[in-house]
Amino acid sequence: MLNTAEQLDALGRQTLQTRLMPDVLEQLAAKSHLMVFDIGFGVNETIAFFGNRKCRLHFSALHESLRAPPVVKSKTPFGQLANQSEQEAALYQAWLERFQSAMQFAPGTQLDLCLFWDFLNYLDDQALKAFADALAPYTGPQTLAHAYILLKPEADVLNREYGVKAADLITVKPAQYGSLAFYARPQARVTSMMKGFSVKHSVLRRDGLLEAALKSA
Amino acid sequence: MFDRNKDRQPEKIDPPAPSAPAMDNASTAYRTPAAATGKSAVLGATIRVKGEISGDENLLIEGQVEGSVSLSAHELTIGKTGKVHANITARTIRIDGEVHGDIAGKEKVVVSSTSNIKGTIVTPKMTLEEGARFKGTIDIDPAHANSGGTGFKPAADKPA
Repeated sequence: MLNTAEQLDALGRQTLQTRLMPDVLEQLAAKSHLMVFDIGFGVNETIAFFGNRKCRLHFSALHESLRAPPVVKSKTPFGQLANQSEQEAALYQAWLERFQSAMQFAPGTQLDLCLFWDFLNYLDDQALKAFADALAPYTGPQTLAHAYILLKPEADVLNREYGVKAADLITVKPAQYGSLAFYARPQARVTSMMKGFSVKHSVLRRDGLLEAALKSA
Repeated sequence: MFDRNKDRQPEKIDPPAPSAPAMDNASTAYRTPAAATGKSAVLGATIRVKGEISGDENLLIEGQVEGSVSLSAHELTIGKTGKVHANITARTIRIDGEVHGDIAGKEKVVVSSTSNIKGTIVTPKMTLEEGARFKGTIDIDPAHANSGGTGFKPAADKPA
């Protein structure tokens, strides 16, 4: 459900009001060189917003790495029961390697801001743990993050690309992630798998997404 | 009383792009660099270059380049059909085509929706046109816009 300020335009674009992003950005205002990790594609609004200050913007388009999820072949001989924990560990390892190869930041990189947008909702539990572990070397005690968490399985708030138009305005455009599987989870379950991150504030939006501001522990 | 030619524009002869070889007995107009006329030299769509390109005039690349491109004080445009697998440096850079390599725009980089980029962009001012989507790393330092580009180096890390 949208309020009057969040209507779609003719091209399916939408502007979301955010109550948490202004506080996140305010905490980073004093940084002389901002390191931002945007999980999606770079869009014109985000680049224009950060472009008036010294910063390094990493746009990873990680959704693309989900189109063909890793497949783990069972090592269990034919006719015997497969060991589920072994398979899960192998799947975790495969996801970890995939995310590590997608996050080839310079050694010593410490991110100030991670814009997860709705990416976490496209990861199953093993992939979510692997993503958090792949990211951990690049986060520090001051790293902040922003995410939209899917609490109920409602696909109409997914398949979107995000950008920062202003401190309190997020742009949303139709994306091409419609074929990706998605996973609704309570906030506590998400954060239990996000190694090193805790939710500082969260707001339940009228469209059912939980907007969350996270901080690296 | 009546000037039948009053609406006619004076005939203007454009000098060819300086990529064309100048003849020894050619007029001076044929030796004028494109930059002096405000135009760009053009590397056409069927041209393939392997090696280093540098110069003192604007350049439009519609062909294929593998190596490096350096136009420190001028404009570089990668046209829609351009495929550049090279590190590129220029005062301003516009990308409508494909670039695989690090991009250093000393004043500005403009990326259009038809572009395909893999690499790191370093510039004081970056514009992504409406509809364009970018994957990679951008180093922005607005303070470099008036510094003449000293100390301007591409980022060391690989694109995310």
